[in-house]
Amino acid sequence: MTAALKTQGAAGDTASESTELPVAEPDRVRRAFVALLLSERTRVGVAIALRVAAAGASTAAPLLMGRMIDALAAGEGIGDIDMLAAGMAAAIAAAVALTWLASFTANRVGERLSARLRERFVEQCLRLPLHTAEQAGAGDLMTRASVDVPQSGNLIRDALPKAAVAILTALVYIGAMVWVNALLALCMLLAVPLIAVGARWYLKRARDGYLAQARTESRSGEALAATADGARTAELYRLEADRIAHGDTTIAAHWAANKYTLYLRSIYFLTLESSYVLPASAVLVLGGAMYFDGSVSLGEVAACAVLSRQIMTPMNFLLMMVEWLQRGFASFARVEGVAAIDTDEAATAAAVPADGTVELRSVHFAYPTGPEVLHGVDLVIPAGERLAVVGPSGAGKSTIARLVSGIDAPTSGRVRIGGVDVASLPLGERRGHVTLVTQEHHVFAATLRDNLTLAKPEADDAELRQALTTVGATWADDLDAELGGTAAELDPAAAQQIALARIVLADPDVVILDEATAMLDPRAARDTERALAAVLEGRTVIGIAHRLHTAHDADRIAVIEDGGLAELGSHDELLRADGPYARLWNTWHGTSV
Amino acid sequence: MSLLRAPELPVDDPGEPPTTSWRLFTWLATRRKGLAASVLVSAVFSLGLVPVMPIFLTGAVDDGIRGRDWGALLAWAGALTLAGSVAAVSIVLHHRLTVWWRHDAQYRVLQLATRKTARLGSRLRRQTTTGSVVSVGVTDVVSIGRAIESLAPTVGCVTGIVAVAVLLFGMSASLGLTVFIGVIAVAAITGPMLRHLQARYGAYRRDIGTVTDRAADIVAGLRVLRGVGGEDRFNAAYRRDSQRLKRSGFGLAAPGAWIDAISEGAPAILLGAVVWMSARLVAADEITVGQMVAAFGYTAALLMPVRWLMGTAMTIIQGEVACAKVCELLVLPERDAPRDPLQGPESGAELHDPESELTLAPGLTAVATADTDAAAAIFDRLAGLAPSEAVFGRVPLARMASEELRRRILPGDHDAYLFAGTLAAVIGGRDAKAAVTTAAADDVVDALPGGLAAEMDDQARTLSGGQRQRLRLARALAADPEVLLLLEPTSAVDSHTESRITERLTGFRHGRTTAVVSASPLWLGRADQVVFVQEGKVAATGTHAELAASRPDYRALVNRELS
Repeated sequence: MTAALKTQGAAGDTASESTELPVAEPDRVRRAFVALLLSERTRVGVAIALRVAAAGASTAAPLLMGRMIDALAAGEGIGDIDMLAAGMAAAIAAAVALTWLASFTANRVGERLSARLRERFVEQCLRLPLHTAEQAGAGDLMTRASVDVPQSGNLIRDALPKAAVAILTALVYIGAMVWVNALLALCMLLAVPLIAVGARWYLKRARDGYLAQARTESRSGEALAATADGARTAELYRLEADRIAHGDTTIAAHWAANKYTLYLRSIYFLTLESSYVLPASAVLVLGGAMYFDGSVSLGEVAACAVLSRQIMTPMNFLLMMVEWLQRGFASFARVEGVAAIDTDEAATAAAVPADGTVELRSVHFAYPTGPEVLHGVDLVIPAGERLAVVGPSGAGKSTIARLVSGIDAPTSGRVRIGGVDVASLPLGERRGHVTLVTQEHHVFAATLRDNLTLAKPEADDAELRQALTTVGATWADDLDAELGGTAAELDPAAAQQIALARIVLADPDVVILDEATAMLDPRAARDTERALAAVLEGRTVIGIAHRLHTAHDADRIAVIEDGGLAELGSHDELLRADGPYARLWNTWHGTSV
Repeated sequence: MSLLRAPELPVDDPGEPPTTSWRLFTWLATRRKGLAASVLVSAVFSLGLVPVMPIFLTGAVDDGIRGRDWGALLAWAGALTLAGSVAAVSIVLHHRLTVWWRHDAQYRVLQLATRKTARLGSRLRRQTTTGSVVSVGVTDVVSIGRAIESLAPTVGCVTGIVAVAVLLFGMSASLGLTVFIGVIAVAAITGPMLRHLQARYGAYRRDIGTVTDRAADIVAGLRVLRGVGGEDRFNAAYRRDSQRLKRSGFGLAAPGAWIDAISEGAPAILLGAVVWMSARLVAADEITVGQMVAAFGYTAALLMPVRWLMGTAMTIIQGEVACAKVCELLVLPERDAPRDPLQGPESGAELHDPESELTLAPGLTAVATADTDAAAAIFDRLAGLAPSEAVFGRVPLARMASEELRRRILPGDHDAYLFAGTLAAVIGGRDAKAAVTTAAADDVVDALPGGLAAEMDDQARTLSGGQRQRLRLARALAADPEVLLLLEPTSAVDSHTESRITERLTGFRHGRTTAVVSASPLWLGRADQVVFVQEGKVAATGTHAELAASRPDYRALVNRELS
């Protein structure tokens, strides 16, 4: 355990790739781990105490053997030997009972701690800032949830207790040797230089090695996930061979990382294993010299010689476990990395938006690594207006949606709702005022009811049914039907209707629909939008659409081209202006019936 | 194969595995017979050598210390050092061989899962989930690897136990017998207990899976939870599941503790018995003090092998459970290849679906329908993806070889998966550039650093819905199939771009069969033939103008779209 912890601490933090979430730094891993143990300090303490007692009881046999040898040398009779044997039997019985108790306690503590770890992980995920959450739908965070959390659980439940037992046992054996003869026990120190050099060399390299191994492993998992998700596409485009080749490439990368850590262990194991060789021989030689000298009994030499060999058993076991511990701690660092993400909201606005007025004032925006996508947009949408935003793909419509909903903050300029900067509103407050619905939906593996009430916990069944009817979800009759996951898969249109029903229930001041009905067939999309409009009467609705009927129905239309506002006005005004919108409309209308 | 060089992994062909769990396990362990044999031999040397080390103690204590002979003492101590060094080297060698062996098996499973997944293709979704496939490739492979890895120490441990028994018999028959019977008794007691634990473990593993799935579900829907709310409720639901898992784990605490107590206690009892017996033998002058020390050492050294054997049983049980999961995936039925496939028709043949009565001839056919799902079902039949009576020319699709079907008929799904890779690789085909231009996706390509050489991640997550849709269309066009079936290919692009696409696509696909499901007047007006489908059947056929004039229901559908 100690070794693995140190390993995490040895190398500096590896720069993780920019698209990936952070991995906890060694210091943080150590602190988090200690804090986790302390959260169950009494139980952990009891488990350790029981284990120490069990290991202590199990040293009785070699110690009593030494006594027997001396008794024999002193020419004492069978009766004394039987007495010592009875003592040994009692010690063994105690060791068995204590081991049972220690293991039982440790097993339960392990369950408690891994439950705490996974619950904290999910809790932390649920506190991630919106823009992190936006990117987290799949990929890195997903791997952490599905691979690293269970791996860390195994570490805590399985690998660590076993490692702890091995360490404690070794320590108790050394203690017993010191008790028998401190000078002979000093022979164990001969092992230290080799262990120290080997460990230093190894620990300097191990962390990066194991993190690379974890990374390549998660890549190969992602490759398989993509192959499964895209199995139909791979069949249609005859990409099966490509997918197989891609999978094999990720395996080759994983193998390369594995071979490196194997190389590290090969050197490390060799130094450790060799280091045990000297102490046992030294105990014999030094013990012999002392015995010739008369300063030690044959029984004492024998007991120490046996103990110095016995220490190998737990040490060897520990060696076997190093790889799993490393792997486990690498996962633990990835789980803790999520906890390291800053979730403190900079948002401190005390003001509450007065109404659903949306203002954009000379808004510029550029993604961190990209060119500027909005070049100074000025736009005021009075509360209760229905504004359609149209324009070619890539013009910046979705960016406006992200800014108004507060996912991103403008590079310069201001975006306000009801007179308050959106970015300064705490998330909990903000989403009561503005909600963004996009084409990307998620249906949770839960009942239909639970999928809806997340938007309004207090809603009753009638309200839920009303919301579903509004969005045209005629298929939804059973609120207790299990959706998502392994249950019947919903088609994208139904998923979209659920997303819209959530909006109806959430009922914010400002609703942004970013192509929110694109998955519905055109007729249903139209009906749904009209029904939504009726329900959202009085709310500010910003509808981003490529279909012009949405624009036609709106109060005003904003045409966005090349990151700027090209035109703004009602349908009729814009047609009269004969600008870009009119041209678009005519293209559309020109071929009509 | 050399013992010093790692094998080249992954292998080119993982082979044809058996599909029952134990046979799969055995098969995986024996793919490289030379390696497997080397692992077992090295196990005998490394782990088998450890328990017999006390033989050097006997010599040192009896000849050296008790005999007060410096020469003998140093000779025995030197021999101990040498034997220890040999053991050290062979342990390292053994570890390396084991890791190679384990990964050969692990990677084979992963390769088999990938290959099976690719072969299942469009049938995968109906039979399993991405989650189950990934759990085979991520979790089960590790369990299998650990199980295979634990086989070698088992052999080493058994060797060690036998060697110790032989040495003890040499000293005293009664001692040897005690140890031997003791070890068998331990196995007899723990066997049933392990079986009991196996059953409990299966249930526990399912619970872990459920809780992991729940966390994955929350992560997948994180943007909804953060954007709309409901964190507390989902957190509470997760906590409930997690606590249930904890209690299920508590149920394993006691049986697990028995395993630990017995695996520690049984050797300790043996140890006590051996010390007591040997002390009495020393008192009776039947053995020496040195032999007594060695007897203790041998028996103490059994602690590790016995514990290993018990751990191994558990690990192998877990490996078997994992193998069963792999088998479940491997036996999923794939598309039946027709027994003697027929050659497809000459190019230019008509494609006909009797169920909907839809016929596609060369040229652009627009399918107008209010029910996109029904249209998707027709396309699946026309592409031979769903069982049907559909014919290509006179040849039933069901009788055509997959390879030819896929080459000639392509349904361009609107939600088709975009795999990671360079944009040029994603789009593929002979002329990616022309396909990109036809799909009006030049701006998408130009905006990316490196253009067609830009690296995309899975599903091109950084692009907008409209941009992705145009890339999907470009890919379908670049594949250049004889028959192209497009479902709502422009639903997420603006009208201006849509108009450009319809115009360019007509030229690009000239002379070949293209069907487009859309109610947009831009497609309908440009099509050579418009088919009006109602309730999954062809209701009318004609040009856009003809249908608009003759069918009020058609007009209503198109006008709804138009406002």
